[in-house]
Amino acid sequence: MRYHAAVMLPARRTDSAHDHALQSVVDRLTGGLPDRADTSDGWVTAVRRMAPRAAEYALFPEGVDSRLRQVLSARGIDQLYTHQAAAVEHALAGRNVVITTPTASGKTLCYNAPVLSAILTDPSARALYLFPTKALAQDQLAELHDISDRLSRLAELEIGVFTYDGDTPQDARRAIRGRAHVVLSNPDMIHSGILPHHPRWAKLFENLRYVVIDELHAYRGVFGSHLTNVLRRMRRICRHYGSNPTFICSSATIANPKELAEALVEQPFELVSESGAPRGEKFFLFVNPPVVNHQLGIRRSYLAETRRIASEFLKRQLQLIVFAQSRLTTEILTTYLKDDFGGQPGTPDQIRGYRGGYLPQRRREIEKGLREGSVRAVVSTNALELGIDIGALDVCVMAGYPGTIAATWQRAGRAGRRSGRSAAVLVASSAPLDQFVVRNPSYFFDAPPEHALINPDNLHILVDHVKCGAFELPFTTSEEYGKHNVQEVLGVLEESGLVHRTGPAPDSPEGTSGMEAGPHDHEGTWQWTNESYPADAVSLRSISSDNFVVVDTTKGADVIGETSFNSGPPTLHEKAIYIIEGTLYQVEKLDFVGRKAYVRQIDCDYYTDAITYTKVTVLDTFDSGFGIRDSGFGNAATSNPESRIPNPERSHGEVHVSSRVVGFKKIKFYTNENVGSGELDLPEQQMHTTAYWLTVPQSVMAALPYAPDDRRDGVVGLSFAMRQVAQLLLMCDRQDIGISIGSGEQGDDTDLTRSGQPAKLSDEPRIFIYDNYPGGIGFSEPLFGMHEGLLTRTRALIAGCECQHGCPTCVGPVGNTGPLAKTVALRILDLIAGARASALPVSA
Amino acid sequence: MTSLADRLRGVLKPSGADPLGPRGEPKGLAPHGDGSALHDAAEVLGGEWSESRGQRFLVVDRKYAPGYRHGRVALADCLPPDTGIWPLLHLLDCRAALHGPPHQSGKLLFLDLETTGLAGGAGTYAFLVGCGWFDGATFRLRQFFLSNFGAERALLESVAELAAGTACVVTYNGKSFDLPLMETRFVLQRMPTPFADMPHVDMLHPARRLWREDDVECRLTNLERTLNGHEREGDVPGFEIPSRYFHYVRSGDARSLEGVLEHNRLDIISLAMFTARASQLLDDGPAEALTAREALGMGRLYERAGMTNEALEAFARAVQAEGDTRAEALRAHATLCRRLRRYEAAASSWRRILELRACSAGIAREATEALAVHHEHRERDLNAAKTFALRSLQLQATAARQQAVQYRLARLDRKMGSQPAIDRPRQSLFPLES
Repeated sequence: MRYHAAVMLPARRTDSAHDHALQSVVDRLTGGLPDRADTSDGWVTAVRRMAPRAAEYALFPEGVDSRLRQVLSARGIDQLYTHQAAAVEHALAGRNVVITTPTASGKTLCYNAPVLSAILTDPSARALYLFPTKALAQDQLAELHDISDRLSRLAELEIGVFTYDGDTPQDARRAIRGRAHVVLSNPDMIHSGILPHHPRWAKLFENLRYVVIDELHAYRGVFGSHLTNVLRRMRRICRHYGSNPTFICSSATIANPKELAEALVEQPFELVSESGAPRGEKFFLFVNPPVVNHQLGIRRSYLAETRRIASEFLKRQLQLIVFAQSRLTTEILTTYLKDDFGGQPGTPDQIRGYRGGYLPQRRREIEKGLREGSVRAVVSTNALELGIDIGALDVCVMAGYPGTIAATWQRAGRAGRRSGRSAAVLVASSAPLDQFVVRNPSYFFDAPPEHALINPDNLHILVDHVKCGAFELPFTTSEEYGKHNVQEVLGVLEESGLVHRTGPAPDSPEGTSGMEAGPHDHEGTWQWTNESYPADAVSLRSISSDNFVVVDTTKGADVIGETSFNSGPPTLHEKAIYIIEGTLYQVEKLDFVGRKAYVRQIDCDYYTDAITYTKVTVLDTFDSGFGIRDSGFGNAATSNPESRIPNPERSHGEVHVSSRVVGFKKIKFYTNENVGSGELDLPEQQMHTTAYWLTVPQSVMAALPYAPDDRRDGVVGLSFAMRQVAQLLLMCDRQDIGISIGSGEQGDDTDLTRSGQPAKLSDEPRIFIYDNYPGGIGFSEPLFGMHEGLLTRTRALIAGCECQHGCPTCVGPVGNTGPLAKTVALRILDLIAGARASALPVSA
Repeated sequence: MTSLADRLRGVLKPSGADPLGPRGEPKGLAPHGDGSALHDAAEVLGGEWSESRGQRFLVVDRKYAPGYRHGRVALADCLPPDTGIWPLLHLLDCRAALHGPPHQSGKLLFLDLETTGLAGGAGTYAFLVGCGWFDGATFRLRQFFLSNFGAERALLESVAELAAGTACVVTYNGKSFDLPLMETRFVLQRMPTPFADMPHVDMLHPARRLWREDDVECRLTNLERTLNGHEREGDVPGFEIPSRYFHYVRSGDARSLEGVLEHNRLDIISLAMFTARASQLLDDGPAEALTAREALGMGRLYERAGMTNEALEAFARAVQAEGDTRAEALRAHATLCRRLRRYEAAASSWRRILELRACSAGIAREATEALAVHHEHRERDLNAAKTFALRSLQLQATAARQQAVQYRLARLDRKMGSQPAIDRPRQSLFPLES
């Protein structure tokens, strides 16, 4: 369904009944005023109507093989959309290109056309497609087969198209290596199955013409940093076999697609971003649950609100996807909707949950149900955000802001067809980020989306890939790899006996090595001298390849899910409630060493939330400085240089983070009451990572006219709000960063942060925002650079909040902090800004 | 600010401490730098340097006289005929067995590699390529030792030179290990692989058929013990081999490798001896088999090559044994007879299986099924067929198989109902449970 509306879309009810049903729900929600202005205090704060758009076409570029045009024509494609033509032209000319156009705009043709054209012209040409998941590759295979089969018949040339991944049977692999023109795989398989065995793939690497990277935006953070290294290794191998492939990438809308492509591939790229595809009419609504307790700033539960809105659509027979923020909320919402719309017992479920951790078979079944229409609503985590084919749905309801502008558009794109109406509804939670976005709709609708960040030179990641690279092809003593000096990296690997340097060394006389150096060698090499297969020990999805599996012991011992090493202790501690598709399990035993959690089904009315202790120690300050006064705060600040505070307020550097889960709270479903707690004794988790931190100078602390406890509440509240804004600025997931308050000094145990709150405050407290990955993943330095924006937006968030004393929207709920948290936090920001607090308008 | 190297050490420490790092150094060796002069590897290992393209590698040549023995077996007993190839050697290779002998004469090359690991992939090197061949009445052995990674291309060229003109290459587990690894090395050096289209006998599979004993892994050293009565002394265990090589790479001290080269030589000689034994046995015929297992294995090799008379004879000989082998031999005999349409002989073997005291459930099930078929379709004795079908029902493990038998029983009942007078009433072979 990605090529051409007229041909590819199955006959559907484009009838007015469908459009009418959708319109009537939108009217109900907006009070019949779909074009009204934003009302930041209203229930529906914003409505946007995106007008339908007609297609813009262009001719096929010259270089497209006539036989391919013939086959496309037979499928009803006689001309290309403008963006397709531009992308195809770049690719055929050998220019790397990245395409960012909306979901369902025919992106696949942008890469299939040049690839198939190249193979028709030169049957020895090869292409490699990378998808972030196996499921996406399978999805593309069917479509590609359809064209390649027709082409094969027409051109009398067997065009082999195969997936090659962990599911490929062993006995089929040799045949695929021999026959595949196009290999559809994923970065993990390239990393552990193809690159280390490159001699078996010599034919592919000798003739590799194109590398396609779909869903480019998925490669940010850890995964992206790994991918850059996988591509570095791939290019070493291509050089060995004498090929130099062109890259074709497609991405969802992010602020820096070109930069991301260039950072991942480390080559220049052309950008194609103007879509020529048609689009049906679409409504986008922001909903803010009403405040039910003004004093505490408590709003009606956003989950209950989501449930109500989803029901409106479901009642009118519209097909729906609900996105939830976490596995937990996914399960809660699935339970709610099943309660409301569960069919007769014994009939197939029309309401399904979907998230990572479900086993593949269950997932495939749900995807199929969505395409066929037997599943009327699915509640999903971001697992369905990527391009898995679930067909085009009518409505997307997002329970909570997905965290980034890019992800929000991506999720909203799950609803929407080429013609006919669709709708997307964002229901804000009381989290600060949600409130900021829902009350400032223009931030979302008008601002550019976020930047995707990667740090391929993270030493943990880099070293792992240097090992893999050395296994694949010896490094030469003049070779470069990444930003660090790889020769130094190899030198350290040699200390552990992993590699061995042979040949003449510039700095050591010949003959010191046991190896006989060849007299005519101008260069030495670093050889892999270990019997292990290093790629096996490296997982691209995490920095540590560890994970916990969840074993259901209710009847027998079935593995029902898995979770990463970091989130193991907080979600799988003993007595924790683990939820999968609305079924509750209680963890009976956590085998920390064996990485297994044994659970048993249970019937209860609460879930659990872990309490974690965190302590950050500064190891090394990379850079520090003052805020830049002349941006965002007007002349008042710059004209008062004497009010500057003499200590550096912003820094970034290397830190040691230790954290421990010490207990948990039991929280009742629906009411969210705290109904009990428990203590836990779990091993401490430690890591070195990078952090940005704000130092609240002693002079500021001393100038605060409040009691010590209130000052502490102010700092805690400030950190609470800063975290949300940092997450917004960094385009990262909540778990990508961690926060802690303390002195940063070693051995200072008074400032252990207990779930965000220090026991006692030091004289010059620091608020740390650290990368929640060993070695850091590249957030700290950009955050250091965005320091001023971070403080300005934090202030706007706190000052703009309606509550009196603080609420989950700004500085955290009053029960967590004290009554003065909000006031003190604002005061701290103003003092830091170097201006008299009274001189600044509250709504800066 | 800490230096890059220090930060790297911090990063490496957690993983560097575990499986990769320290087990590299073999025990009991004086570390490099103890003051003792380093001996030249050629001297230590008894070889000669070969130089090509400015790169040196070591070639170690050995000759073994006809009187050389492994336990009870002397090389003189293992010589191939004057053509260089045993006439029935091709029976040992499943591909060649179907198409007849690829070459009636020429050189046999016995190949065995020592490598830097078992994982395979581009980073696993064959640091020792051992080749053996018969030269008249002597056995010659040439080992190519990669003393310097840079010399790999030159070394492989020499291997290809030696392999040229080979009629057949013989390995032990070479199908899944040695030859793919060789292919990887040649491709990496962008050279054609000499073994690509060469006839290949992987002795692991015939050795398992002929000589595997229960619960004993079919390793060369185990075969040496059981077949030749030969016990290796001070043999280097396989898992130590990569680390011994890495020790040499880092220190230049080749002393610990002498044992590795000897291990490789013994493996190649043993491989040649077992190939000779298997080939000669096939020539001599089933009467010469020493054990029932060997006779059974021979029968299967004959059968695969279409030599049915020899196969039947071998199975018949194996039947004289006791235990599981006997049941297997009867089954092999029955299956082959059925294929040859000698139904009576097949039925007789199936019946003998049911008379055995000890017999695995799988074989017993096959026998009852075969007899049910035999009596239904050939003998047309429906009562007997039903008896066997009912008996086989009790032996079926899966629901699908049980269902298949139920179908047969239903059909038998139909047939018996339509012609109630059973042509040849016969006493029940087995008492039925009620």
